[in-house]
Amino acid sequence: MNQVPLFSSGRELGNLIVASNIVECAWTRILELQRDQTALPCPVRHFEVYNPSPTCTIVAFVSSPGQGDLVPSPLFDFLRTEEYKSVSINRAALTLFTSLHDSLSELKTQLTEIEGQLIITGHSLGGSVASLFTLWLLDGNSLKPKCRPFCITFGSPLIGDFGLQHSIWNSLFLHVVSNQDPVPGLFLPSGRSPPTSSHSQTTGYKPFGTYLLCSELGCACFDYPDLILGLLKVISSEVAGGSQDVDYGGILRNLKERAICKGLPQVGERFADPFSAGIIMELETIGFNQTKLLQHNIDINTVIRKMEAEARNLTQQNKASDAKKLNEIKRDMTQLELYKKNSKVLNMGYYDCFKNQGSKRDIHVEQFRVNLTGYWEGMVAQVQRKPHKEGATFRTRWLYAGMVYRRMVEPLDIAAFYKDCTKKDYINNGRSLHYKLLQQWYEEDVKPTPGDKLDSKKQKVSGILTEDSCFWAHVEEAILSCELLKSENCTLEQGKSSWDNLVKFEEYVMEQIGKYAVSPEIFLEKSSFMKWWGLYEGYIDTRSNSHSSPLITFMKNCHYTEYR
Amino acid sequence: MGETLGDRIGLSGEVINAAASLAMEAHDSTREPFRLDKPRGLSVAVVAFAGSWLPGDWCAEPPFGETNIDAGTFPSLKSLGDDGVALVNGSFLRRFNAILGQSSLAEKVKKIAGKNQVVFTGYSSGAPMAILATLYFLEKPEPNQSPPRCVTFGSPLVGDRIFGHAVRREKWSDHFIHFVMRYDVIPRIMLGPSSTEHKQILDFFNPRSESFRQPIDSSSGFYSSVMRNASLVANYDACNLMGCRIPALETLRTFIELSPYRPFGTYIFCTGNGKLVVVRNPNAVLQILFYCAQWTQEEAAEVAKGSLYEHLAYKDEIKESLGMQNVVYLDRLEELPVSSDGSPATVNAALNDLGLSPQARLCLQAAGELEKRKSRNQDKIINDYKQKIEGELRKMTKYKEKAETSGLGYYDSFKLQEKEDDFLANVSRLVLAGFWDEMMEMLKGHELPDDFEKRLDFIELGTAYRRTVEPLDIANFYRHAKDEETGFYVKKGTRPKRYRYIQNWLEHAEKKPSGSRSESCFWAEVEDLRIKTRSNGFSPEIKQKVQQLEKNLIKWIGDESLGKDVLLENSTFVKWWKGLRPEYRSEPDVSKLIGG
Repeated sequence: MNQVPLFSSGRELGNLIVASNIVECAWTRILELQRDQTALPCPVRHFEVYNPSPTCTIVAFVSSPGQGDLVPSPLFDFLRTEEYKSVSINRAALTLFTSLHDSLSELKTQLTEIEGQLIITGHSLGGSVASLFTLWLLDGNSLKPKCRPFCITFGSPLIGDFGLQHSIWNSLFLHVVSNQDPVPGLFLPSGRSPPTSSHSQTTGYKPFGTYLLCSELGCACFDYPDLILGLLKVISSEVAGGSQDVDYGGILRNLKERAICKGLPQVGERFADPFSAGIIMELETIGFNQTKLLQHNIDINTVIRKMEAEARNLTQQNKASDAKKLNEIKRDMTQLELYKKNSKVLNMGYYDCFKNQGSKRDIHVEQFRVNLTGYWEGMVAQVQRKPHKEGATFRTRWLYAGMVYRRMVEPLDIAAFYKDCTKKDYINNGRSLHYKLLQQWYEEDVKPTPGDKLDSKKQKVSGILTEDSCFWAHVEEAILSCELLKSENCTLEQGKSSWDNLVKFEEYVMEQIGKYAVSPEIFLEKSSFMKWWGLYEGYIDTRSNSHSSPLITFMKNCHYTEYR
Repeated sequence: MGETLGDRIGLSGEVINAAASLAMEAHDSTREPFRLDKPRGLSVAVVAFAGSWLPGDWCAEPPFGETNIDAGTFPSLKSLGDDGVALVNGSFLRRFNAILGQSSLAEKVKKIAGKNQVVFTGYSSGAPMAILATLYFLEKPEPNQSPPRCVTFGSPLVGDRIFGHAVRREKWSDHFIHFVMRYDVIPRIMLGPSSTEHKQILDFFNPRSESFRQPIDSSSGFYSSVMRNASLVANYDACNLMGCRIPALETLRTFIELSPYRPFGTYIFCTGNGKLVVVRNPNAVLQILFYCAQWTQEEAAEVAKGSLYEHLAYKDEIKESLGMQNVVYLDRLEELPVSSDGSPATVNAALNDLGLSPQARLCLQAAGELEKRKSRNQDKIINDYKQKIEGELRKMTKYKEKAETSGLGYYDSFKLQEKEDDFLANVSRLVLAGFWDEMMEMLKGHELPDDFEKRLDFIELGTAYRRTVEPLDIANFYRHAKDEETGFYVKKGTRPKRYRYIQNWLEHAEKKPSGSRSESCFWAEVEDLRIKTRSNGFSPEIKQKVQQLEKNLIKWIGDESLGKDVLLENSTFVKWWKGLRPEYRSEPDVSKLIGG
């Protein structure tokens, strides 16, 4: 089957950016700050806040680049993801940032009050600090929802070894780089790195956000990290050091004129598919023709193929297919609901039915469990690729659906676990990470039911799913404890810990019952919970010291017949 | 002799020439807002409108002067989803409403036209009047008369994306022909905000202005300004056409203010050497409006001057071009050559004549691919989803019938969820929701052809789906007591898009007021009133609601849009209604219905 052709819009976006005034507006403030700096020798101001209009705030940073080594920084640990397990930051940027920490904290408090546009900008090392400051603002979601931040840097060196490809934060960073500016690629190994920085400390730099690369002829946007790294390296190695003062103002003015002028004839037009043609032309525009790419060992065809694969992957994710998938998953949930319902008739509950695997329908239901688990593991993995604490992890719709899924399906995992008699302690040895995370996110988001709502919870208890999805794991452990206590070769020590477990279990169950948080199905005649009660009741009756508890009273007096 | 332009667009060269003459004449008229003519030897009536050069008649409220179109005069110009009514230029709309209100346009047009077709025409700011007049007559078609046509010359943009979408949905797009000279500044002027440059341009044309036909100082200044704004809109739209995933785009959108106006209808570009290039894809038209007017730095002064003088040259240019019949149709945009020496040669030559760079050509390809993708999506729905939906609906109908014979009705049976059938119905409900939700998201994302919502087969299928299945969604909603969390079912944000949109389709097709086809929400109204009438007090407001419900019930049972299962003895409705305190009940016909 022929694939749908893709397009690359790096030049269109580039022209859009230069034709809008936003980048120029940021650069003007940087110039202003630089002028003030030279006019007033001390104390050096590294940043300044401007308010060009009531709905726009600009924070500008300036400073020259320093050393290239990377140092770990706990301050930015919130950027960790599954892919980037630790975060290191350029030493010079971090040092400057830390030295400004007090005044920046103050500024942060100020900025949490504002609404409207917030542009955080900087030149050279100032841009690195602008990026760090922006990330720091984003952490913890302290900005108002109506505040729209945008970080724009000019000729800034790379700042760290982390990536933001799967985070929405990635869209908030724009790095403007001239093909005459060696600074952005300064710390890259084959670039002109200062002699002091050792190789091993500098290999980890990763770009993030969008790069607007500019030449005399035009500009184009790039967001593919490998390609950006390659291009920055080449620029850095080609441009003689020392030409530190790249005139970004002049570059932007030229580009603004260029954007409405006819383009020059280009080589890329010979390419058959529009995606490759687009990228080749984008590279040509910023001064990278085929010969130059070859010279620097950039295998552009491989890069394009990788970019294309990624783009294809992205086009398949859209709201229409998301909606479809969520409905398919709900369908599988309905099948489980039916299974649960039919199990109740057998006086057993779906947990024990599944554990016994006594009939065809128990095997049949396995397929739905597999579908559901596959879907939710995927959803959780997607969230995990984002930096921790990015804010809302899931849309509410998914958060709730995930909660229902966990309560419905995790008991089946527990059943499968304890069916294998050699296994013990599901919570520590068997529980899948995605359940833990779904539970954690849900609990972070949802407040506990206030006491006065208990009455309405009581009314509905007959239809609910047990709230603690690990309830059955506790029951299984309690059964194991009972069995151990009754066995002849139980040591004194084992006896004591088993007894402690059982007392704790009693309290736990009673608390759940009091909150109307367990399904009445646990009291069905053939359920594991009733099996436990049988064992336990037998044990305490034969025990020499008498023992009583609210749960024992509740069970002995059959109060559970009224719990429904 | 091959097919002429006239054959293709359904308007002969003579008519177009007559329209051009009358449009230019009428434009300068100060006495009458429009002129009517029946050109000798032609079987049409031409109506041409006056224009104005006053800045206030172009954009009264900066930056862009857009306003909601009034739904009373133009009921079709809206989204059938959630995007509301179309936006139009407020100054143009105001001027048109004044013409409509004061000058008995409708009567005069009817009188002169008789049984002939009417061609509305306008030049420059007269063109928007012609466009709105055409739409006005399209909205209320006269029996026995062929629908009106519209030809404009150098028209500024009039409406936004929804405006164009609605026109295409109603299949009116082919009624509009817009002639545009390659560099003419006026068709691009509305892509930017009202500015001093706009005033300079209008003053240049205005005979009453001191700067009339005077060279504009820094001649390239006004042109760069217009082009820069055009480039913002064109590049932004191009990014979206190309499916741009570069992250900064999203953020940038909130930092720039873009003109809402977009082209619609068929555009015919005059290349300046006698060639005519016909483009119907609205996205492609926008890209061409920008790219074909790009300049090189050397020709700056000349192009800027040309952009003004070309606006004055329509009559002769069109006469000459129509005589030559050198016409190129840019139809299969996705197959356009990217390189300036590509093939097919005629198409390539036309692209060269418009000065379209490889970048521009890629944008046009993307515009073509988008339309192709839309029709592919529609094919998938028609060839695959439709059958599956019908299959599931048949299952649902059986479920409904079976439940009725058991005396309870499927609404209540589903709400109880006691039998396996109820579970299976729930599975079907979700299967169906999957198809429709996907379709609604496609509509929201503009990923289906514009006229999809007008397809009779889908309006019918959707209505059958809505009437059969929505009661089950309502049952599910009240079964889980979701009203305690989110409130009443029938409101935006709670009631699913798939039902709201489909109801809009039907109401629009039947020209019924919004909300009149809410029969599928009957059960939600019942549940809501059940809760409200639980307390002991009497409230006149509730009495009114009960009365409305009773009236609706009788009407909907009568036209069979509501199932008779509502009236079964044990249904939630009947039990509630019978237990209702007598002062709430008023409709004796309801008891008759229930009894009978």
